[in-house]
Amino acid sequence: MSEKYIHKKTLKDKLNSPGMLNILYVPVLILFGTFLIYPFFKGIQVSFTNWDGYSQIFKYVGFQNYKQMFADSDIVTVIYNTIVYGVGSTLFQNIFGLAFALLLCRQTKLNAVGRTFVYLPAIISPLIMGYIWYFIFQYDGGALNDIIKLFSGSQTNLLASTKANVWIITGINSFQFVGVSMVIYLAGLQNIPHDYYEAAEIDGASYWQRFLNITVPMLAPSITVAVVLNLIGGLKLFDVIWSLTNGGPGYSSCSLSTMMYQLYFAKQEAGLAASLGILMFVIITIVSVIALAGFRKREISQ
Amino acid sequence: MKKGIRLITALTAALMVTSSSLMGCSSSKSSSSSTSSPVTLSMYSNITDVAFQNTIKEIASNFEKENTGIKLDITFPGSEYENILKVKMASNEMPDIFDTHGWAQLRYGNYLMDLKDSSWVSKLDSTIKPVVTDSKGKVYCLPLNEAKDGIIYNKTLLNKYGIAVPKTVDELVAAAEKISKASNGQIKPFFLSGVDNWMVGQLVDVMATPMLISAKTNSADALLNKSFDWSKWNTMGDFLLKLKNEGLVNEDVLTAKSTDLPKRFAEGKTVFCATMLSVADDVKAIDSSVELGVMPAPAFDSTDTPSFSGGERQTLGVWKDTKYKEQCLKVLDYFAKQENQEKIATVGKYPSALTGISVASTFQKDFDSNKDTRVFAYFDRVYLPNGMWDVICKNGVKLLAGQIKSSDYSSVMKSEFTRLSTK
Repeated sequence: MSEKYIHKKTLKDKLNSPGMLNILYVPVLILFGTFLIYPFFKGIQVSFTNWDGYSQIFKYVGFQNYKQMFADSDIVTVIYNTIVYGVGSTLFQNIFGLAFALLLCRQTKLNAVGRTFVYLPAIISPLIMGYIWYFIFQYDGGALNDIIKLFSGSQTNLLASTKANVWIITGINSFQFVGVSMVIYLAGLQNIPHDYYEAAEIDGASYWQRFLNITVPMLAPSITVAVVLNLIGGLKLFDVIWSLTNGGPGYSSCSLSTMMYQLYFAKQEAGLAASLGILMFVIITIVSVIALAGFRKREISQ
Repeated sequence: MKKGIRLITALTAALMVTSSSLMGCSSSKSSSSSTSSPVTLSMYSNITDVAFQNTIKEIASNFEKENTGIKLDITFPGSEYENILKVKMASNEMPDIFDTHGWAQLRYGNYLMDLKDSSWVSKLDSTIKPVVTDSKGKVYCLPLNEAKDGIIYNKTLLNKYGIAVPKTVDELVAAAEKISKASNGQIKPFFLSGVDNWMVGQLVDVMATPMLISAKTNSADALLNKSFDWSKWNTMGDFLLKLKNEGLVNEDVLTAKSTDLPKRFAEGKTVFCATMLSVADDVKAIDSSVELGVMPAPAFDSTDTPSFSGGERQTLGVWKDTKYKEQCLKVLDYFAKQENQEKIATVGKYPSALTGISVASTFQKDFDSNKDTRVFAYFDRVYLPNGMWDVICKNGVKLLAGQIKSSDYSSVMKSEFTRLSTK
């Protein structure tokens, strides 16, 4: 007679079961809940009040803040600026990041030094980067004006120009973080097997043909990562704007985050600032989801 | 063995994550307030001038020596002081002692302890007493000094071009035009900063008093009962635009920072600026031969006389929910002592708010020669609702940038005044 041996579940088995893995999620969930989910819902709540940011009392005012936000003429400028900061930074960082990666991908000593120099600006605080570049663009005694004065005798105040200052800030932000894109593309390039290039060379493909037909398709995952990361970072831009122009003159170089900060602290309109925060969340989510979905599709089709 | 190490690593990692997430939570102050155990009081001040900060720290350490059970933990957050304190107010966790810098009643009022039983209250200057006391007799803070602000001017340059201190706006503009012409446009007499737009607000604020308040027929009552005709504000916009369009303001007004000012004064590139008296030390550090003076804001016509804007400058208030009430009051009494008030008046340059204190400081000569000049409370603190400061500054910069006209400035002042008054 064979006995059916029933394996009782011991404590050891319970601890080793896949279900127990879920307990390891708990600390992360607590962190997420405390610092991401709770503030988000509190922000939504505040956006329906007239809180000034520091009193212990406030009143619920319905959709008044949202109405006021959309009626404000500065909002259109600020949304436009935010998109320039996001899309513009992403464009420059990825084009130059890929160019640097292609230029510096071979393992020579010179290339290693080059890669370090390209990445170096990314390690300092964006606020400090803004202060450093302020010394270049400063009207009185700035490096740029010193050079221009040598040639033409007049001085220029680029940071005051409402058309130029947004692009200057975009450029400085791109300069600082182009190294990050470069690193992502370097990793992607290293994963492309050399055989493809050799086969293409034998078939007589030119550099451009090899680039377009081998490099770019194989880099599709890297492009997705780099573009989406840069996009989110650029749309949230704050520090470098703050230190260069403080969002000015007026609100002409403000992004959604700097305007939100000024509305909360300077104008003492916490409710309005919260509604702007929700708008920013919606815009970034939409842009990121579209970008991610679009690039993922390209990845799969490659 | 491997499984054991994995388990230990996992537990350590989980512990580290949980503990780091708990570190973010603020620890509750649970120490008892018995006078025998050593007590640490937190003190916040918005003083940015380093010499002034050192004087405060010196007075604090002398206090600690004489009162061994009490320690003072002083923080000077600098330009972010107001924002940091707003966040603290929102979470109802104020420092034990903090500076109210002009807003003791209007902003911090609900968080301040009544100090009316302190010994120094009887010594409060007659001009400052109504500013820090309300109708019920509550005393909101100890004023460390008293504001007496007008326009700071480059005495060396005025003497060089033989110009007397202007008493009316016309004389002021004429003086600026004279210096601009005599220097072939090299000197732009007025300095304003678009980035640190409080400078624009400061000029507007001190000029608003002669424009609307100090003359015999004025708009004080109209503003208080909200019947003011805001088209009168066009004069302010026109005044700023006149300075800008005649090339009397620094060319980089939109992008200059307040930190550029001391160098401009020292290099003789600036003549007039509405800013804090502490700039004198920064200028002296660059070029000790340059002398600065302070003049009251000039009148808008010759039937009126110039005026100073006054009120709180640096103060110390006590949080009404502090656990160490007696200790905080002791600190304030110590700062109110004669020798400490004299130290503060010398380094801070503003006159003391307590009677019987007089020192020889940088601007004392100008204050003495203006002994009979009227001092009005700061325009925006009395006649404008809380929150208008940003409106004045931001739209003043927009006006200088050519983004709005004088009439737009007035209409946005009117709409924000109405909106913020009814909050």
